[in-house]
Amino acid sequence: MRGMTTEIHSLFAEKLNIDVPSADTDLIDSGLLDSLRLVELLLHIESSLGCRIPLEEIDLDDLRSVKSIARLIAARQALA
Amino acid sequence: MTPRLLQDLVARQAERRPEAAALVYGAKRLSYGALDAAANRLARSLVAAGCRKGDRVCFLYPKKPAAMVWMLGILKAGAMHVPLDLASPAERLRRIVNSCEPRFVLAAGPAASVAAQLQDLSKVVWLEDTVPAGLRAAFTLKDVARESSDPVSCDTKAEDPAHILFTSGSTGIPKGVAITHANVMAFVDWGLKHFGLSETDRVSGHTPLHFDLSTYDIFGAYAAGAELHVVPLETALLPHRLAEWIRASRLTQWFSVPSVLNYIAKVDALRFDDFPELRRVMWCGEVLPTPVLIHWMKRLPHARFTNLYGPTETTIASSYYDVPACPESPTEVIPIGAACDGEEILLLEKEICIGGVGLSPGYWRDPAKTAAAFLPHPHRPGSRIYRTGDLGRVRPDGMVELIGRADTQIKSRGYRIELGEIEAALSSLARLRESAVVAIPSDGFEQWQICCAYVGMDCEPTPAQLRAELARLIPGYMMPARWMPCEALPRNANGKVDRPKLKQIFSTEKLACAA
Repeated sequence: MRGMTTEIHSLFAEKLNIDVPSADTDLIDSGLLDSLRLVELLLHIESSLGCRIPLEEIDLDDLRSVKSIARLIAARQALA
Repeated sequence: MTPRLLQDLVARQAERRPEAAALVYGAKRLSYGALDAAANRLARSLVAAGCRKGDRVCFLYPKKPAAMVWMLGILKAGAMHVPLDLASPAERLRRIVNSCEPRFVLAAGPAASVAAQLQDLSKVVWLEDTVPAGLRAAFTLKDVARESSDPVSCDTKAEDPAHILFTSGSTGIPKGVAITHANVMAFVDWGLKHFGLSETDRVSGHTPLHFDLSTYDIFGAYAAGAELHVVPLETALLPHRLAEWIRASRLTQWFSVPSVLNYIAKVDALRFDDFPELRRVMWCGEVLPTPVLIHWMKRLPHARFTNLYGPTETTIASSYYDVPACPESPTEVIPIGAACDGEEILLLEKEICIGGVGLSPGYWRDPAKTAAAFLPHPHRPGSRIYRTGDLGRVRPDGMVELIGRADTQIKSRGYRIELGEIEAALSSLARLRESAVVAIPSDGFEQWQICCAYVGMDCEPTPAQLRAELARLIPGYMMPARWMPCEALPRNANGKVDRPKLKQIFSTEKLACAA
């Protein structure tokens, strides 16, 4: 889990150029994640981590923080 | 009394219909009476803390009802508001704060860490009860709550600036565009008439507060006494949720932006005959691809669609085009149309120039840039025009069409981007000997792909290193998507960087140099 959190954190920094203050920062409330950045993020998660997440299947609470995104991916990978 | 100032629009509704909803955000509703009273309290606190007519007050907060209260409170205190983008790098925000020298920076909630990085430049007002560790606050929401909600007297004039909006500048320093109360009022008057806005309308705005488009959805709604439905931040993230939200809000007028219309169309979140009460969809900020417009017009045959055009410097929009019928071909060009009331569109050697009531007094404390962009009117002594840098032509029916840019500015996600600002930031990086930035058309979510060719110093810098350093200076939407190391930049016969050649290289070698 910790490894995935670090990976998502660096995806934000390197691919989206967003420096997220902490793994618990509320990405939605802070305005750091907007619709276009979300699309970009999902593309990068697919290409870097091999995990495809269709937009329609996303629950907003999964996107709240770097930690919750990491949890979502870990859960999907465990199912695959 | 006819309102002259933006804040008067709310005060008038608060007097006539205090219980009517001004703002709707999720389950929250804020009435005109409550909005006006809360803004009066904040205005009193600001004045008591030393805010004077003509002062600037920056604010850091997402587009939520609290931010609307702040915006209004700042105006009522006689000051200009300067909305800042929370997602911008701290270094860029510091440059903006340095340039406008605000009396205060207002912040709350998610803005704590950013506000802490600005507090050596300006006093911070923390609009929650408890100040986070590491932050010093001039006053807090507790102090505001103790103030009276009676109106404050202020001697602001219609010709005084209401806000300053910062946009990309080619020299690397963001330019502040000052917009007066009269500028916004003129567009609001036209919009009310043209779109038939009334107190039975439910309008929505999608654009963040640091975009000038948001001033129309906010003050247009206040002028009409309509309900302003603010898109909840999380709703805007997912197209299906956004479509659901429009249905549930029963919007009647939607001021959108091309990127959002495109997003919803691409994921096919729209049903046929969706949003039965939506009468008007309008967009502004960049070109809406015709195939996307066709998608929307086929699904919403009951709605009218209007393309608005105009840069920040001429306030919200200066021309409009009501699309008469669904375009037959996806290659059809949608014109920017004809001038709104009180505005004038002129073509001077193909460049679109704008005159009339929306014209900003100029760039904040930058007479040189103001003089270069705002010229004397060629036919009317004493009047001015603004050179947009957009190129256009007039169709036989008098409608104006956009045909390109005279310089290297592009539009992405609704933001104006001067490629020169990216180059200026790159030139400050010690790892680079030289660099050049070009934009090539893209078929993805964004219309342009920003590409950078660079020559490193002796230690070969990697794109990842350069991105990391650049991210501290420019916002994410300006970041080059592709990077190409070179031995030397290609040059033309005059010794200038050969940009057409670079564009050609990036366009033909799509895969080879993708970062």
